Amino acid sequence: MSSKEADRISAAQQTLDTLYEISQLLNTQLDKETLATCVGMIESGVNPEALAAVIQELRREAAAVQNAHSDVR
Amino acid sequence: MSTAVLNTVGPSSLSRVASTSIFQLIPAPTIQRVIRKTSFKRVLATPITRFSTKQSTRLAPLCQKLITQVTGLTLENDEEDFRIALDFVSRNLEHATATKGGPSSDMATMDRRFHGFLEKSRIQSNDTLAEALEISYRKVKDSAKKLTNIDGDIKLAHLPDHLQLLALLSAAPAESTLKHADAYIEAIRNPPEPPPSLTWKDILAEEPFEGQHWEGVYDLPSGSTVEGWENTSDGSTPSLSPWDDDSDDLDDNDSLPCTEDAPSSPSPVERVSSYGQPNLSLSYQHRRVVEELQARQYWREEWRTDADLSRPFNLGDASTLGPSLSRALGERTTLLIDGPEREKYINEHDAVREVLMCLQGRKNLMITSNPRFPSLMRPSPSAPRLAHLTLASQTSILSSFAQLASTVSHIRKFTSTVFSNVFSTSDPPLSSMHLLSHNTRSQTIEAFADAVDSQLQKFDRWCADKEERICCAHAGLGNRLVVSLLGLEKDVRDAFSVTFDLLLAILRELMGYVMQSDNTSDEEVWLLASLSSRVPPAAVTAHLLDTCLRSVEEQSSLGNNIAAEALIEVFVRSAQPVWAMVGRWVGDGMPVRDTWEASDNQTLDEEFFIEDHELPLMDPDFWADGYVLRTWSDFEAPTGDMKALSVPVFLERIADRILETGKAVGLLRVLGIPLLDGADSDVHWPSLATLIGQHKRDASDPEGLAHLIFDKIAPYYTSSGSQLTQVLTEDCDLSRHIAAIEGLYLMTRGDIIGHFADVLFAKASVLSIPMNSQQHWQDFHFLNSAFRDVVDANNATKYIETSLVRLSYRGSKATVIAQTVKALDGLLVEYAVPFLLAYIFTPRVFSIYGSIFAFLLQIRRAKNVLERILVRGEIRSGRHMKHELKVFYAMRGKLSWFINTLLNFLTTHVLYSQLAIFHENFKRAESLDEMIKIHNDHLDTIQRGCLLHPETSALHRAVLSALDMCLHFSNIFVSFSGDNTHDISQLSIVMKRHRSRRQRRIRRDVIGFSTPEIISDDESDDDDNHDETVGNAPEPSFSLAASVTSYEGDLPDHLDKLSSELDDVVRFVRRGSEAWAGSMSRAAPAFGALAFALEDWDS
Repeated sequence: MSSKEADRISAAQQTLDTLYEISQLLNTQLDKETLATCVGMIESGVNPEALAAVIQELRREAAAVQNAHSDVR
Repeated sequence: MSTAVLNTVGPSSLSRVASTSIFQLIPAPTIQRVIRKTSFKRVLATPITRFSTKQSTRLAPLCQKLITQVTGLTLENDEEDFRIALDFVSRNLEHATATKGGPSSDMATMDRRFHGFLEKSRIQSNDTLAEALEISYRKVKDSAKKLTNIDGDIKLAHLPDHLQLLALLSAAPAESTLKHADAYIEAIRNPPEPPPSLTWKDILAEEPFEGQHWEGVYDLPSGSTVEGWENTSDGSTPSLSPWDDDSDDLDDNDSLPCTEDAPSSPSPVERVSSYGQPNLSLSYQHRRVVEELQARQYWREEWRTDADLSRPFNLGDASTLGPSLSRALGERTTLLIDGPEREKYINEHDAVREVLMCLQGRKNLMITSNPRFPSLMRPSPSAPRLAHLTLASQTSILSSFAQLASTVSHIRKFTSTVFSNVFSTSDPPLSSMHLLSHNTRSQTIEAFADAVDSQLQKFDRWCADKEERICCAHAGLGNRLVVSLLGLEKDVRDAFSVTFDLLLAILRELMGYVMQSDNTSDEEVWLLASLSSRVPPAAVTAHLLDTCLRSVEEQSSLGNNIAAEALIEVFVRSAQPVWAMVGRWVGDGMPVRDTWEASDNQTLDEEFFIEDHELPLMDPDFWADGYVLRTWSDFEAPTGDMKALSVPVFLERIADRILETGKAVGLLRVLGIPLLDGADSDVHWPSLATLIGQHKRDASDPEGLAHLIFDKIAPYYTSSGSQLTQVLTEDCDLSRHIAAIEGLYLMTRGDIIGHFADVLFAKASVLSIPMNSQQHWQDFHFLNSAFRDVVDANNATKYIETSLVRLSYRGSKATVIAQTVKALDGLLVEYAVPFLLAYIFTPRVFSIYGSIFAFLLQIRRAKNVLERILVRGEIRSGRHMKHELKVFYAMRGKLSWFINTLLNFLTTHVLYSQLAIFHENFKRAESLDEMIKIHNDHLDTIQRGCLLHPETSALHRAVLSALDMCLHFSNIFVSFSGDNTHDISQLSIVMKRHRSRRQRRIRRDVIGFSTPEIISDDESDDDDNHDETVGNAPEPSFSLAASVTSYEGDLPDHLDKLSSELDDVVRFVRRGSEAWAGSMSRAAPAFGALAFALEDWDS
């Protein structure tokens, strides 16, 4: 791996790490992998607002399913 | 239909407003319902059609991943719901992506938004959170600046979007959030030291983010990539944004304090993971290290040896001895000995370390100071025990160390006291008790303290080195060591022998000397530095150096080379101040003071063994007494040691030479004569250590040292001596003055003095008749003019400068020259010598010369008187006189014989022979002092030969009485025969004289009136009982007055008596001279000649 490549990757990694710190401080409840996914999506051109809405909707759905499952039991 | 509803939302509205509007249309329960109602197949088919575009294809895996991560749904566990969710996500996102051409959030917006977060946190009193957020926000901006590569995984342009996502997802801070913030700030403030080996290379090697493919990272399914994502974003947003400016704005506008820089740790992720909870394994390791260290701290109370103390005594196991014995003793309660259970045992190598500490003067477990005598050390009562030693043996071993430690501590105290005295600027107050007391602060004592201190340092170094080796060996480094107390004791002995005991003994002895008491064994030697004593500093210095040197001699004679070497080192350093003084003295010469300005003259150090008597240079005694070797003054001298010199022994033999050299150099300097010629002028005076170092072999013993120093002084001595001698002989015309002095005082120029004597005696005879007297013979002007006339008449002015000679009479005018020769004692002859010669011809020397001169003149006077008596047949024609005349003739013959024998003896055997020897010796003299010595010896010999020495005073008096007999005889003859004398002086100088019966009568009357009473016969009888020891001989009884008044009637009897008395005198002189001939004095041969000559008296 060339040193330039390494720098690039390290810079990306560093930024990702710091973003994760911010996400924790903002209590976004994103784990590191999810954040990485999100970052990847935004980098792919996804609108952050839409993504945020989707994530929150998915969370709500997941919570509802969880509740439904517990109700069934 | 939810899908339909979603699709009805126009793209324009999506792009314009926040996506919340979308979800307002699709509430969660609705979706739930939708998901439930939608058939599996349909839902499955639909997304596939939807994801037909390229972008959708790329987003699909990410969406699937997101769903799994957020909801936990996977294709495997709930395919239907997963697909519904996927469809929902894909469609919403695809739509949003497709329409993403509108205004995206920029950095300025995000700055404001985060600023809002910060303010909000602070309002909620979550300062730490605010701070953490601020730091991390700045950090992400900083790190994003590095994202310059437009092909990078994360692009700078997308940072606001990322941040916006986080902002949108943010929730109110929970407790865990605050904790996290605390931990984060803590980690920033106290960044853990990164392991040195950890580099980015290592991290990347562990987590290979190869290329743009984050393959296998963050749980991406194996083989899945984010391939081509950078292409997707190309052109979607401008690659350059006003990022930098905005960030600066934020910083500028931001009034919030920023105290901490972002941590620059290369691996923030790891740190974040580690600061949360304490690393148990690490702290355990630390604890273990502490435990291990504590296990080695034998000085701790709870430390226990690993030896089993409860074992019974076993002959094969030494470590059972101590505990067993103390157990056995402990059973007897009266002994108050604790059993081994309550005693503390340590290992021997630890004990050795403790002892080494003790020897270096530090606090330790084993040996403490005696509470009553803090300077005395003793084994500590609470010292830990050694398992293989009994209490008594341990105490015994420790006692020997304690003794050494006491010795060393005494010496340490002494050196430190001396040093602190040196540094304290104030002089110690003078003792008011006696002004004669001296302060013992001296350079030599300071130098001694310094030398002793260097020995102590050597000892400390040795101990420290020993300790270091023990520690190293304990840690497994270096050689294996066997360490034991006894071994240490032997090592100390081998390395230092009894050096410190001897040093302390020297100090004690010096202390005793200074205090002038013998009982100083318990004295505190460190007080020495500040004592006041009656002993002068020079004596203290000399004593210290002598004691040192004596110790060196003793030790080297005992074969104890170690101690001898150490002591000679101490000695050499201690002697350096005195040596330097000698160097200054020899090099610069004596300090010469002007007579009138005595105040600012430099004086010699009180420590120096040469004393300055502060005489002016012009004083004739200056040379002899101006500078002398220092002695104790009378009231300082201890009884029985009167006038002890304060010269150190090693300089004793050459102290005189040093003294002479310094004086000669000083004198030459005063005379303005450079001491040494060019080659020697830059001779450097080396330190004693250098000198000895250069001649190590020669200086090994005190004898050699003395020789070495002698050789060092020699060039100064010879050079200064020869120069001064040259000055004396060439510039001061020494030989001419000596010849003149000898000619004058010793009458070697017989003619001049002979004529002068004739004139003088003629005058004296004439002046017996007062009426004719114009001038008395004692008259100053007569004496000098007569002398000048005689010298001029004989053309002897080149031999004797009359201007330098002055005659005067200091005797009593009452003594009459006609009656006794003692009248001539008062005649004083002075001779003026030039400045430098005055050091040789001092007033004392001239007084001796004067006494010799007077004595010779007295003999000449007697001879003169006798020669004037002419006993001739035709003088008195009367027959009756013939018999008397025969008697007179015989008597005159006797007297003449004696006088002539005496004069012959003095001139030939005493003066002439001694002068020959003197001139021979004087030529060889190499220095002024040698000249003075030779001359003084010469004069002393002459003085003895002329019977003028106090020891020969009895003989002298006897001779004088014989001389007086001559005068008396002359008077008798004159009164008997009238004026019938023959004045021999008429042969040389014509002087008118008148002799008549009247005159004769008058003269006789004068004699008669002034004659003292007759001395009794008892005394005369004693003459026969003269003791053989001349010194005790009573004065011969003959006196001129013995029978003067009574000779008129019975002349023959009188002459008989005179004859017998002369006989006694001659025999006495003969016996005396015989006795002296057998003595060891230099005049003995001359006395032998006299005795031999006088033997003829009886034959």
